[in-house]
Amino acid sequence: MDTPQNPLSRRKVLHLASGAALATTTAAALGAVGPAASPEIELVGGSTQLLIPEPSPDWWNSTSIWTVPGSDPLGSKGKPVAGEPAYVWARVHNVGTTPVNDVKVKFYWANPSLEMSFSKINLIGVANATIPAKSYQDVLCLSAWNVEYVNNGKECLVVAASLPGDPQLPDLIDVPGYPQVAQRNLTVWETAPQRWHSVEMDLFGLKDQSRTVHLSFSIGGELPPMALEQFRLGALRPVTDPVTEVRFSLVPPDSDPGLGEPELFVDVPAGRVVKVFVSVRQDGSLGEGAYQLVTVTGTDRERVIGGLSFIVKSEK
Amino acid sequence: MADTPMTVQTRPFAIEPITGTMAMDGIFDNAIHKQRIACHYTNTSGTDLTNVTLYLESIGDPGIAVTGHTFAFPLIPTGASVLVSWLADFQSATPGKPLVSFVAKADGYQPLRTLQQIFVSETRYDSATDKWTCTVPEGRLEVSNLGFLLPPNGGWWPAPKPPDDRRPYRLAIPTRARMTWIPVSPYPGQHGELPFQDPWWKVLVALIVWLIGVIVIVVNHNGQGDATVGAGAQGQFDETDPAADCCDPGASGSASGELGAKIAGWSLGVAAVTSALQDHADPWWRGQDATKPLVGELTVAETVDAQWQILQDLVAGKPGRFDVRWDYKRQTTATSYGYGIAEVTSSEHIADPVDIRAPAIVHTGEDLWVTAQLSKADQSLFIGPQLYALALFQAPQGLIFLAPMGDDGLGFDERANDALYTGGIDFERAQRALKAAGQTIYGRWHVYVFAQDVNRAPAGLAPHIAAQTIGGITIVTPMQVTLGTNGPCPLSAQATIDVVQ
Repeated sequence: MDTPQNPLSRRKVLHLASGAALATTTAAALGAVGPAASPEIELVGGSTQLLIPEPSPDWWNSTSIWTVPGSDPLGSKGKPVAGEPAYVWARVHNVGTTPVNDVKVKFYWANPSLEMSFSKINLIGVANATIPAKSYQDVLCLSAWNVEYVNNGKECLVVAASLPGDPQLPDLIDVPGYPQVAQRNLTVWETAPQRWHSVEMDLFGLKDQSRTVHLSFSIGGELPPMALEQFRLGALRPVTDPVTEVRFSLVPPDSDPGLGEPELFVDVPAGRVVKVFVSVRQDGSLGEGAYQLVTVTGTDRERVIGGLSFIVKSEK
Repeated sequence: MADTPMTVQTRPFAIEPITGTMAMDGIFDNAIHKQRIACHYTNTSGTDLTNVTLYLESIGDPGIAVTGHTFAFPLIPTGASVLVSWLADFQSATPGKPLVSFVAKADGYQPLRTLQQIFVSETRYDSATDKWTCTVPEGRLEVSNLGFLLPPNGGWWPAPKPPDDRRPYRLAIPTRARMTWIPVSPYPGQHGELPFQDPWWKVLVALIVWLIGVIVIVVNHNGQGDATVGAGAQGQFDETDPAADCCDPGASGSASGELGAKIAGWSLGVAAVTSALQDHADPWWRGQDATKPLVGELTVAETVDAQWQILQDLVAGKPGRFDVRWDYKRQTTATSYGYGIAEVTSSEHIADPVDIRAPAIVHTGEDLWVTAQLSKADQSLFIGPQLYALALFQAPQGLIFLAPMGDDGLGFDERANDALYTGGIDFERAQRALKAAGQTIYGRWHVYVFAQDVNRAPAGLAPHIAAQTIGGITIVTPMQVTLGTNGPCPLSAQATIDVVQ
């Protein structure tokens, strides 16, 4: 798998319309969100004070976004259930030295894709927040997300925070480039042993030029406890030795489960969408208390454009 | 760190921004696009709180667009309830009970989130059938055959498209209506679902009357004519004695005084509806009590034909007397049942006595203020969040200043929950505004006080119990409706202040 961008470089090269840039950060603080103060970030005037942290290198797995399934927005975190409402929360930091009032936080859901545009995803709702300096606020979107059963229940969440004076975000969702935007492309995949399961993924072309996206995957690794707890899977232990296979295909694998290749180069014409089918099979050795982390990434000329992560576990 | 001890204890309520009035029982109707979501935020601790911020975080209906705003208070005294409100657009709101979340934070505490529900209805008018329909999640209420008590000969009345220069009416007291409740699903048994599982069906009738008044007032205030509501208010009207009257605002005579008179007049009309149809049980509930369908029958519609005569002058906060007759008809899948009542009723929304005070003379640099103390029927006093009150300060040459009146220990109010509601205006601010308008601050000011009661029923009550508490009724207003043609001018300032050099 290609090496993703260094999180420090994201901060260093961040330029906003005003031409200002974030000065520095500490890698340890970035993504390691706890109940303590915000990450230590020094800002140059004019840049946004808002941050929704995400991990590194898998920035698409932000644990600053989580869901509460059911009808009680103050209930326990958990996996959204298709056909039922869920409430989306986000933790938004103010890394500046002055308090911020009337932050607007927008919540979206989307069909999983590696790179998305705000204009093509679905707005769930909007919330406001007031955040003291060097602190954070957990923001609740009270517009319920009516979870649809699309794509076998694998959906992505995107959150964007802004202040009235902030420059407008580009339509193309650039999580590494904008600290006030975060994404959660992490879902749970319950699989029967020795059976192929597939999910459909969209690859969006650029507006004015075609590109070739390299799809690959990695197996193993461990999610932070917080990520598992958000799905009420805190008791699961990771299996690092590969017990899962992954295949990519441009053809629906319905009649030929397991169809595809372990990596794929996909030509995506300008302005078009290409559907790719991702199939996963576990060999049956995943016990009840175990999971395997499977991560699909897409790169375009060595730049990671996005990823999807699956918590693969056995069906009950 | 402990949670900030600030909470919204009861259901937030709707305020119409131009008239400043609370909607009937605080219900938000999407016929009025711009409304304020208001609530009393209470310091529930035993200590004063410092550097308090309050904001509305989110609302459960994505069709309601809230304008974000954070309120900051240097100090909120212990036990005080502060009134805060946020402007929102309800044009795309859906009838229902969406949740609203509020967040409060004070020094030394972590933020605390409070969730409350609001009630949202949808009212529309059909000019072809001359029928108003109010839709809520449990069903719809259709109101037709509205009758009004009008000013006597020489009074004005709107036409759909007035050929002349007739001014719109400012006083029309409802005295008759046909009201049909159609549940969203026919129901078995004796009692159906209450609107929003809370207020009586009659509250929706009063809401429609309130809406008609607001639309007339707001549309005409904005100079857009009154075609929409004019047609809706046509029909048969009681023109027999006793006629009702309220005279011009007198010395003020300004457009703003006219606005105040309209608001006062319509609020009395709304109060008349609820008073006539009673709070402890409305005609639908009583009719359901008296008619029991057989097993297997489903109720598909319930109609109440009601009319009432006003036997005494209408004065906000006084019981009044209404000679009421209503007939209830339950239509089921098998047959129909009827029940009727003739009775004399009176209002249960009492404020008597009302003690309004203001300084008789104010010198240059001194602020203008007014206090009000209101007694309930049991002679206890209204305190804190039990009232929504405001004062209009009218300058000698007509400019009006609107000041909220609170019992929160903030601003002009000396002490929270001491039963004195205080509002005021800063001398220098008033002088600047008057100078910009080419008016003087010196001379006699007139002060008009309005107050509505607030529904403080706690959540979790059984619906038919919660329904007996109704808010939004005007209990103080500078107008009364006199019967007969020779009544005194009923719109009079409750206080005057002479500003001298």
